[in-house]
Amino acid sequence: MDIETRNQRGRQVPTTLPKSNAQVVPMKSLKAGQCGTVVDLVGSDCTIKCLVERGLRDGSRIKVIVPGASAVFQVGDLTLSLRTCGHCEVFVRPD
Amino acid sequence: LWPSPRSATLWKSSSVATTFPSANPTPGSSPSRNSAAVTEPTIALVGNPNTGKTTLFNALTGLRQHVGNYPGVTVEIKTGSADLAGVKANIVDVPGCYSLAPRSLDELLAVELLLGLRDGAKRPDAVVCVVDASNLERNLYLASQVVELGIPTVIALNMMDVAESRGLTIDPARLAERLGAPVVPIVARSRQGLGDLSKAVFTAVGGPAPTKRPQFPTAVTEEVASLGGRLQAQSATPTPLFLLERVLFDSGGQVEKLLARRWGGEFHQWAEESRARLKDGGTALGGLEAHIRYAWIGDVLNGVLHRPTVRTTRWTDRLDAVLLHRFWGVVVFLLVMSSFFATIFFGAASIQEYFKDAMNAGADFIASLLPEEGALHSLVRQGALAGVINVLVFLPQIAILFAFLAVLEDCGYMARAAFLMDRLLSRCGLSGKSFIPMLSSFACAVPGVMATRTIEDPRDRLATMLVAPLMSCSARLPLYTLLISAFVPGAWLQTLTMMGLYSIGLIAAPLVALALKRTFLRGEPSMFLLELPSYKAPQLGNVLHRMADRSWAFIRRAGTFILATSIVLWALAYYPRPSSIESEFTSLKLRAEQLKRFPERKAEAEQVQKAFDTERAQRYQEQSFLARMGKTIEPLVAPLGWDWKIGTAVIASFPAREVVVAALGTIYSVGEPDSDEGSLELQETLKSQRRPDGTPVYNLAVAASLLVFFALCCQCVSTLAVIRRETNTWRWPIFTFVYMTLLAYLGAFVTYRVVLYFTGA
Repeated sequence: MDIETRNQRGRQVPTTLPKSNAQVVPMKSLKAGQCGTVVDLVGSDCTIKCLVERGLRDGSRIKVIVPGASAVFQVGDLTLSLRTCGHCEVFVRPD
Repeated sequence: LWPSPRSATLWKSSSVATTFPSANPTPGSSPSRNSAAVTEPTIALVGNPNTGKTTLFNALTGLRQHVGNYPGVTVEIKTGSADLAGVKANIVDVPGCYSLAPRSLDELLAVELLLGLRDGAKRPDAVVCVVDASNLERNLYLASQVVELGIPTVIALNMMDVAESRGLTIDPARLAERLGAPVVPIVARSRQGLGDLSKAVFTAVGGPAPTKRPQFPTAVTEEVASLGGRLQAQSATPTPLFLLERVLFDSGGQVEKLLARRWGGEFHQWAEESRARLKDGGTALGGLEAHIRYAWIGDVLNGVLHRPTVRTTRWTDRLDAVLLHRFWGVVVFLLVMSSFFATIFFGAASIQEYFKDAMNAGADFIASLLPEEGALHSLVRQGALAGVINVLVFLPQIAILFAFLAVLEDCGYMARAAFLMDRLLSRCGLSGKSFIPMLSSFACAVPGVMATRTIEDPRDRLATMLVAPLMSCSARLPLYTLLISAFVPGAWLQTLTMMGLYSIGLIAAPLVALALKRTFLRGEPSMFLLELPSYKAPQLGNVLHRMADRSWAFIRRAGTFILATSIVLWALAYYPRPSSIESEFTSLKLRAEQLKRFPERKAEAEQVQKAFDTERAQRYQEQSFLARMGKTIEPLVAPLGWDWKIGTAVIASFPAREVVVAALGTIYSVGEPDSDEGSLELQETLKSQRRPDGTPVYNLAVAASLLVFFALCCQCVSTLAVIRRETNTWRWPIFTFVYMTLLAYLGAFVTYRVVLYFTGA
């Protein structure tokens, strides 16, 4: 599956995923209460590092509390709020 | 040796030394005295944001630094002294950071301190890495970097109570063995485990640094050594290998910039060459560090941390679902804010009455000790007391404001409010991270401006700094309360007006930010990522302390700056005293004295005397220095509905806005005859003021225009000074002052005309 996202200024973010990951969706498309596993973080090194340092990384289990582009979710015992603004994309495999 | 990018004024120092008994080793169990070899060791407290570092700092030092349940409360380094098992130690509270790869200014400050790169600051002799036991895996990411610094390290496993309540079990002994550093479980809030912690720190000082650390591929360590060799060829002083490792992992990061300032532009080239060689050799640096560190953390925690197999939905999850809801979250936010404003009005009003009566009684007593007439009586009663007391009567409101803010900060709602506001702020080019400095500015803009250090994007940071003073700080509260109580009818309308005034800042700030982001500070919107802390019951001690601390600051300000301003204003309003005025009233004075001889005409005598006193006082004031200055500026303020007295009070309050109430009190008091009755009832005095044509000076339109002016104007020298310090230029404080003053004038003018149109006053 090829997923293309654009940031607010129309710049294309490189978010092409392997075709085999048919069940993988951007986190913002999950509904409230839905759980999933982070499969990939796509974006600049700096942005990804920022997410990783806060505990969001490949293999993390997440549960969405507030869905959408501006989301609140739990990762482990942490609650994080995230609005990526097109700087990165979090791909998850929903349960 | 190392350049420091910012001034040393960020280094805030306290010098209170305390001893906590549990820290003293008991006979027979005394730890080895490595610390004795180090005179006054420096101990740094580091950790992720909101892990309780400042709570631990306060517990160790006995100081009372501001704590709050949201990330980014501490943005500057704070120091204090503690007695560690008989050895005096300097404890340094470092701003929280998620890793030693700094992105924001507060994180850079932490890294500089740990690596001994700050001018005049000693490298710590030991580090206490404060770790949130309920989020161990994430917190150990920073710890995995700290153990590489080559500094003796103790891991303080804080919030053990929260971890236990979540069903987590941790084996500290095994964790210590795996990390190669002592691990001490503590609960800083209730001071549990602090004795063991101080013993562990005491033992660690002067001892070996942890030897267990994540292992990076040989190619990386070789490149680090190669880069180090190149630098050593230039200088005999070796560069810490940890720094060079950071340069490889954080391309273009703060550490690389820091080293480039020392070694010049070619350092970038060397770093690029090293990274290119690694890439060519098949070592992809992106994600490598995180992968290795988390793998190491996984090994460390294997068999150490046990989680419950089934994670039940907690009540806080359900609460978050409501408080962060797109619609209900905003409803709750508005309810919280309106209940706060209602409390200020209804809750504080009754207390204020008692308070006012007590103050007036005190003022009467002081005045009774003075001569009945003359300059001294006027100075004390109409200058000093009228000015200071008129401000001090608002102490109950100030106390309630800070108690409310302390509760919000302590319970964990602050970060939730930031998330709610992110939707609005993101449309203006800012993020919810900007809301925390804005919310801090409701108390005072100075810490609000400093709190912008947590914002990574420099443009967002500057924009937030420039709009933070638009938030209604506590200094505006006395004028708001005074004018609303006097001129807005009905309790609910008063509450709504107060909410409206606070909303002016919340509406104006995003609009100004939008204008800035579309002009001077143009740039792409930044990402918003904020940790929402767990809910906690507010600690009564914290709330009371914050309330008492800020109330005392308010009293101090009233007793110093406001008192001095009141005296200066009194002198300007009292002098000169030409004898010609006295002679103008000779006939009236004689008539009053004649009437006093006839007891049956006592009432008439009193009436003549009062008319004489009033006219004479007004006549003196009309020709005072203050009146001459005020009348010069009157044409400027007349379009806002103000007379020269209001204009003068407003001008006098430009250094600090709370002065306006004192200034009004003094100006109107000097314009009244020398009397001990009623002169301190400023609210009534304002209502009774008349223009020469007999119309009231104050009506709803004038009050509204004055309120809007104060809601938008930047009348605070301290705020401008802190913007100067944070931006390192006078350009931005001048810009802030000019744009806010113009905005305030325009806002006041429009408000005056609109209210005048609707009320027909």
